Amino acid sequence: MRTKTVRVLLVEDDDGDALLVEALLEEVSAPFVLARARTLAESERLLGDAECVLLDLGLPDSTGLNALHRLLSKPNAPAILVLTGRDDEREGITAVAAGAEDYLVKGQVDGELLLRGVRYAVERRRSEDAQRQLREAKLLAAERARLERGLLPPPLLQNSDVDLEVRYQPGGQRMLLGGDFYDAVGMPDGTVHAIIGDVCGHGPDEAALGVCLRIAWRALVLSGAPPEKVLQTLDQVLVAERHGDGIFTTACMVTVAPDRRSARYFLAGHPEPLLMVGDRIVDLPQSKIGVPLGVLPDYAWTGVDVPLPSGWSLACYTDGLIEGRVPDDIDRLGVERLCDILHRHLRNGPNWMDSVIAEVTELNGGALDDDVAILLLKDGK
Amino acid sequence: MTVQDPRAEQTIALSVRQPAPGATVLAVSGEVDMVSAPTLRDALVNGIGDGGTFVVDMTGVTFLGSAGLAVLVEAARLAQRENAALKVVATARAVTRPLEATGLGEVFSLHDSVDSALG
Repeated sequence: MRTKTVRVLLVEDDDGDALLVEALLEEVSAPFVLARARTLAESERLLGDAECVLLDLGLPDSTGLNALHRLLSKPNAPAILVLTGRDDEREGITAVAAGAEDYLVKGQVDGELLLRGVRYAVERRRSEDAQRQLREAKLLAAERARLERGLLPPPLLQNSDVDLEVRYQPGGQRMLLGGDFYDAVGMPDGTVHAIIGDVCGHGPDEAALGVCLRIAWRALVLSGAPPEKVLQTLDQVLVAERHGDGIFTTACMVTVAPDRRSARYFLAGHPEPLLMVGDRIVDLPQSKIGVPLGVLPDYAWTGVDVPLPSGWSLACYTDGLIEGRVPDDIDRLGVERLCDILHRHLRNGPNWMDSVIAEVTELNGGALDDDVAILLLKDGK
Repeated sequence: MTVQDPRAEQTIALSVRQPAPGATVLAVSGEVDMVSAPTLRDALVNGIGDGGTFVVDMTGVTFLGSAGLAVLVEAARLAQRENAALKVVATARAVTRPLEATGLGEVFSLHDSVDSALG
């Protein structure tokens, strides 16, 4: 079995001691590539290439454990073995307590011991790194789950004859969610309220704001606030909670009447929903789009009433779905081309969401930059 | 100043001129997305801080995403605080469409040429 070469950095200002270490390694034909630094400053420059550092604590530009602390503080610091003199064994023990993998006493170490010490140190560090990455992955998964519960909750639609389907795809190569959110609530009188929103920007602050707005929306709806007032109050919440002056949120809020034959929707800078019957996309009444939340103080959003034919479905989506690139075109996908794609997929039945997202992603030439959320309400009567 | 987006090989180009005392024109071209928006933001914040009339000429913009819209909203707020007049030249469909689609057209002072914005 071929032994893997280990890159070792010897940090030692004494030429005699350095020569001794080199001789010990040669003696056992250690598969090491050895680099040498005479000062702490020099070692910091060479650190990036090393898998293991043999560190003498008595350097001209460092005293005590200062060199060890400095090297350990570097990102992705390698394994560090401390070299001590015969009379400094206590210092070696202190160094291990401070984060060194081990200590070796000069003059009491042969080639085999040095070789084994380096190998153990490197493997221990690899194992620690793997454990740390595993912990980080678990934390990330837990964070994602928390965000998902906050942004993409189970809807409160028990015993409702409105069916709900949702899809969420984070943008780019990110595994975490951004600022898109949605929710749906069924009221005792049979009215169904739904919202989809998009906090501009990407990252934990935007996601947290999305969670905040969704929970505020649910609380307002459950408290019986009229839809006209809900967006105005959400606007106030956004202004109070946002982390920057330019942060706004687009939203589409839909209220479906108890008889399921009409709906009212409100647009705050958000794409219009798409009304479908069978494989047809039904034109909605022309409406003035209100500004996004967080832009104009005391703005009043007005609703648009729309009749719902039997067998309707209503798709609300975020702009990530229409901002993808298109081959050989400087323009982005846009609503018209989305409708063309959707119309084609509707002919293959009602389960169009995954295939439409897949086609839009393919046209884009890979993962879409922005998050995509789709909320589909369907006539369950 | 040109900023390269390594992912999509798209660029945003910004150039500043002062056609008259107290008037600044920032010409923007390329794609204003989440990668390039911070660069536009820096240019707007620095320019508006000087007061006077500040014209953002977006004639050459080929894409204006929500990150770019957010920068314009922030700039409008800043202009209000600094008693500056922020004006946006928007003729390209890539700019007028997102402004209409988000209802933000009514938030900005929109013009179809730099001359009319300065007039």
